[in-house]
Amino acid sequence: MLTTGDVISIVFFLSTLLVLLSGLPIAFSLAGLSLIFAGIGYLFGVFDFSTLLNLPLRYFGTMTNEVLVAVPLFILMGNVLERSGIAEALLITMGKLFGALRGGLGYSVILVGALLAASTGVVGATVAAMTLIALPAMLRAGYQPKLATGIICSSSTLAQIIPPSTVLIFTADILSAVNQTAQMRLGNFAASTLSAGELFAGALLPGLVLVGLYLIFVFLKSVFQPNSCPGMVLTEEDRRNLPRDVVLTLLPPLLLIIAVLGSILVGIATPTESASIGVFGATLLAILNRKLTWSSALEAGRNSIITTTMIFAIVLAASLFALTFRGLGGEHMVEQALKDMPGGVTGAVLIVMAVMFVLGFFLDTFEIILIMLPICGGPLILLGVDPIWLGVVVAMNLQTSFLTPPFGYALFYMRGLAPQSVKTTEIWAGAVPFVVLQLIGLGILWYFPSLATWLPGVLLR
Amino acid sequence: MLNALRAFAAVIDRANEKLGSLLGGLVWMVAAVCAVVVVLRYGFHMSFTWMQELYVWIHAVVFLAAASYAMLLNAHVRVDIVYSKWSLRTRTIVEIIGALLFTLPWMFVLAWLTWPFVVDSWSIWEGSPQPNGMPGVFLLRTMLLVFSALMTLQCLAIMARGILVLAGDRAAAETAPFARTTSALDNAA
Repeated sequence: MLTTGDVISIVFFLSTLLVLLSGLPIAFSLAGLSLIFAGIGYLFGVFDFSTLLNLPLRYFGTMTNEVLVAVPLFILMGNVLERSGIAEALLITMGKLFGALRGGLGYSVILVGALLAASTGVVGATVAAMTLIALPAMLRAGYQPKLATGIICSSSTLAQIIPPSTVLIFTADILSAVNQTAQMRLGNFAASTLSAGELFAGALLPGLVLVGLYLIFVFLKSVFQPNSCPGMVLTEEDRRNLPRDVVLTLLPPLLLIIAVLGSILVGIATPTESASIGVFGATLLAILNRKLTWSSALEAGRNSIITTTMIFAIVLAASLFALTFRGLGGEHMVEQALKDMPGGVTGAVLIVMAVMFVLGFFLDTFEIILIMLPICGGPLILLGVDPIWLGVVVAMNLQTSFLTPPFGYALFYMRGLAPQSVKTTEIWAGAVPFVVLQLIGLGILWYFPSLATWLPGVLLR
Repeated sequence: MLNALRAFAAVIDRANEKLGSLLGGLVWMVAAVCAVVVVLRYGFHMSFTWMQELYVWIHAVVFLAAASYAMLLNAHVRVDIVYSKWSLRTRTIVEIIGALLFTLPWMFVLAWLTWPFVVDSWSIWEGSPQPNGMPGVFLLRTMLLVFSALMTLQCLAIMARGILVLAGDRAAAETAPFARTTSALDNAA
C-alpha cells in the first residue's frame, strides 16, 4: 500500500510540525529539515537529488515575480498609516461618530478593522495594533471586557480575508500555479490564470458578510444586554469638533483605501501599482497631518522590510519543502488519499480544512498557506473545486482557527497585551460568539459558493 | 579565543545593523519607482520595460539582504509554546543546534546549487529577456549568493554569541538576539 517514499513523506511532515514547536525560526527549520529528509530519501533510494536542481530557478521566479512586490508595498502603506497616528485618529473619530450610540465603539472597531485590513496580514501584528488602540477606550467606556476583547480579536482577523490582504496575494499566486497544472491534466490547455485581483474580488463579499454578521451581533447585544456596551459620554467640545474631525481625519484615509481597493477590483491597476500609489497617498496624508518625520519614515521602512523578509524567508523555505515533498512522492500520495476520501469532494475539502484549522493553533497564516496549498490545492482542483472559492474558504477557515479558544493565535496575542484585570477565561468566552458567527459565515459560503465566484466574473473577466 | 569571538560577532552585528537602515530606505525606492511607472503609464501613456523591472529587482535585493538583518533582530517568526519558557542556556543550545543542523546546511546547499547558474549568467553577461529590459541580470542572480553569504555570517555571529553565553559571558547573555524573548516587531507594535 504505502511505498517507502510515502512513509518518509509522512514522517517528514510530522517531524516538521514537531521541530517547529521547538521554537526555532520557522523558515530555517522548514528548509533544514527538507534537506535532511531529502538525504534520508536518497539513502532509501526514493529521492532523486536532481529534483533539487530546480531550486535556484524557483527562487529566481520568486525574486522576479511582479505581483509579490505588492506585499512590501501594502505593508509599508499600513506602517505609514499606523506610525503617523492616522489609524488611531480614524478609530477615535469613528468612535465619536457612533460612540454616543449603544454599541457604537464596537461598530467602529469592526469597521476600522475591516478598513485597515491592508496593514499587514500578520495576525500577531494586527491584533497588537488594534488592542493598543481600542481596548483601553472600550474598557473606559464601560464595555464588558469579554465583549471588548472578542470584538477586537475578531476584527483583527478580518485582515486575513478582506482585500487588499497580503495573505490573499500569496494564496492567489500558489493557486494560480496549481490550477494551471491541474487544468492541464484535465486536458484544458488554455486554462485562465488566477490573478490576485480576482481573488480580492472573490473575497470581498464573503468578507463583507462577516463584517455584517459581527455588526448584527453587536447590535443584538446592545438591544438585549444594554449594559455590555454602553454609549460613550461625549463632551461639548467633542460634539462641536465632530464635523471637522470627520472631514479631516475620517474621510481622507477612507477615500485612500477605497481608491486603492477600487482600482484593483475594477481592473484598472494591478495590486502592485495600486499599492505604490497607496504608499504615496498614505505618506501625503501623514505629511499633511504633520506626523511624518524623516526618522519615522525610515522607521516605517525598516519595520516593513523586517515583516517582508520574514514572510519571504518562509516563502523560500516552503518552496524547498514543496520540492522535497514532491520528490519523495508525497504529493502523489496526498492526491490519492484525497481522491479516495469518503464523501467525495466534500470529504476531501473538509479534511484539508480540518488539518489547516488545527495547524492554525500553532502557525501563522503564511506558513500554513505556503506549506499546505501547494500540496493540497492541486488535488482539490482536480476534484472539481473552484480555485477562487477554495482560496476564500481557506482564508475564512484560518481566521476561525485563530479565534478558537483555547489555542487561537489571536487570543494568545490578546492575552499578552490586555491588562491583567481582563481574565484569560473572559478572552476565551468573548471569542466564542464570534467563532459561531465565523461558522455561520463558512456555512453561507459553503451553500452559496457564488458569493465568492460571482464578483470576479462580473468585474474582471 | 573568546575575545576573537566577541570581536567577530560585534563586527557582523554592526554591519547588518547598517545594512538594515539602508534597506529600510530602499523599500521606499521600490514604492517610488513603481509609482513613477504608474504615473508615466496612466498619465503620459509611456512605459519603460527596464523601469518595470527595476522596482521588482530592488524588491528582490531588499528581501534577500534583509533576511540576515531580521535574524539579528530575532524577528523571524517562531512558534512560541515552550521557547520563551526555557532558560537562556537551553535556548542557546537549541539555537546553536538549529544553526548547525538547519540554517547553515540550507545556505550551503543553496550556494552550491546556485553557483553554476551564476557562473553561466556572468559568462554570457546575461541581460533581461525582455527587449529594452534591465541589463545585468547576472547581478540579480548573484544576489542569491549574497543572501547565502550574509545569512551564513549572521548565523556564525549568533553561534559565536551562543558560545560566549555558554562560557558565562554576562554581556553576551544580554545582547544575544535569542536572549530577547520578544521580537523587534512586538516592541515596535
